[in-house]
Amino acid sequence: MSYDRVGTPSQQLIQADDDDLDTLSFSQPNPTAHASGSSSSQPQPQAGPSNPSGVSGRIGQSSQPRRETGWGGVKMETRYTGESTLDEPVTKTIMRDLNSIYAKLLQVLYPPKGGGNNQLLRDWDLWGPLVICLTLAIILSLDAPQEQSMQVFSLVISLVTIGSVVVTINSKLLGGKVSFFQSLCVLGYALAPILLASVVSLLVHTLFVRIPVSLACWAWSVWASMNFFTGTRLQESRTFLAVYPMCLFFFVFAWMIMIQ
Amino acid sequence: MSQGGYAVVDVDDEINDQGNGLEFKTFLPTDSNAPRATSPSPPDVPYSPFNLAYYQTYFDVDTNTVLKRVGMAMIPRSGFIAENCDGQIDLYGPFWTLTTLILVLYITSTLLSSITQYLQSSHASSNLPLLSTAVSVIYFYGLGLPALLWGATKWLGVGEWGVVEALGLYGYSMGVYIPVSLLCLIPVGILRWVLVFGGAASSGYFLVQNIYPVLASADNKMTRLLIIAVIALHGGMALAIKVLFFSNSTIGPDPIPDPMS
Repeated sequence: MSYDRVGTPSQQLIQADDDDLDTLSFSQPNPTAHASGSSSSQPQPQAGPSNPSGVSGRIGQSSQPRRETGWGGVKMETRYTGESTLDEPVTKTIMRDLNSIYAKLLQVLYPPKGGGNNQLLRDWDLWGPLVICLTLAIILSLDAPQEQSMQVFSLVISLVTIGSVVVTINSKLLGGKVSFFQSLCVLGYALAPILLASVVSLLVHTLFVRIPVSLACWAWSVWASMNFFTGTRLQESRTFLAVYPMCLFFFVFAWMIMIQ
Repeated sequence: MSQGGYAVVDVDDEINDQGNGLEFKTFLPTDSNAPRATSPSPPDVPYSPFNLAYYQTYFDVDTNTVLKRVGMAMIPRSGFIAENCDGQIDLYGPFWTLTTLILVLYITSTLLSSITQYLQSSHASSNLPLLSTAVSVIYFYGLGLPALLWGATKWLGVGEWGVVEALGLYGYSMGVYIPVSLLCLIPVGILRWVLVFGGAASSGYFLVQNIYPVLASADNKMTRLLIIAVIALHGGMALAIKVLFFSNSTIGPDPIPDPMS
């Protein structure tokens, strides 16, 4: 009896989440909505205003998704996402943010052939880096001995923040053309393989698994951040000078995972 | 009321002018005596501590330049700034030399202590505090102390060198500890003492060779005594590195028993 009562709501919850994922997948919102959204009622108001050929529909339509206006010398940019976000369900709002984090993660860690979509990283956010940093700190502090877990937690948080700021300033000082927060965002997302290594080493305590996994994840992190920083138009002779601090930055965490 | 106020300001200005003139006279002979190239050419960007473009002049280096400078700093000779840096030292090399040293010290010492734990099969605590210790010790010695030394020489009115050169000399001089601390993985007690103090002697000689000409250019002979403080602090630094990071898991004779154990 009780087993059934636990089982059914959880299944419903997972199904609802999956629906949202399908209708709101980041890359192509409209075709998937048409393909899979026939049963659910959510995508229909979205498809509604696009169908009638009224004047209002065309103005708000995707023919001009972003508008730039000047306001007292300050350039403002508004983007129309294709639907009203005022009266949508909370799950939809959260899932859209999570999906944008996921898309950026993919863009940083596994960039598509041919450079991919650089516009995606131009809308930097620091939510993803924050989540990754906190998760890494929690996992490493779980892995640490009991009396040192607080120290490890604060050490990891401060290392991530100070280290990524220092690495960013370093590449700016070397003459790289990079936006400060965008670089922080990319460095934070590039920590994700290290997070993967820490999860693996939390589960597997064998030294012969930990060391190759964390070294491979370290290489992945360095590769991912190098991909981004090669786009900063640094001089050829200085690329190593910008890459070396990143190697150090990621290696601290890889070493902390290996040694514990 | 207001006229009296203006009069005071005028008097102040005159005093300031005289003071500047006196200072400038003492600097002139040092320039002709020591042909070291000193302060870097003034950057085009106006000075502002919050402007990144101002600091870019100190990061105007190539990979090969930095590697060459780090290598040359391990060979203790005088005239490091004039010969190897073409008169303009950078800050990239010193800062990342210090940071690399911190990381290498942390890695070697944690590796040593975890090997010891493994051999003794004891569950002692891991050594995360060592990272913060390394950060505070190395950054204080490599960044704080040269700034203090530079401030002292400025206060005494000695020498014509910028704070960047003091930082650069100290930072590059610590580079020799990186191979030393990697070699200290060999668990032989007496070899570690030899290695650490060999590195200390090399970098200390390098520091003395490059700092003493600055101090010797002063009119007051007493300022040369500052070099004794530099040597003493350098010895203390080497001792701290040995005791803090390489004090465990030794095989063979250790001539000096560890104070930490």
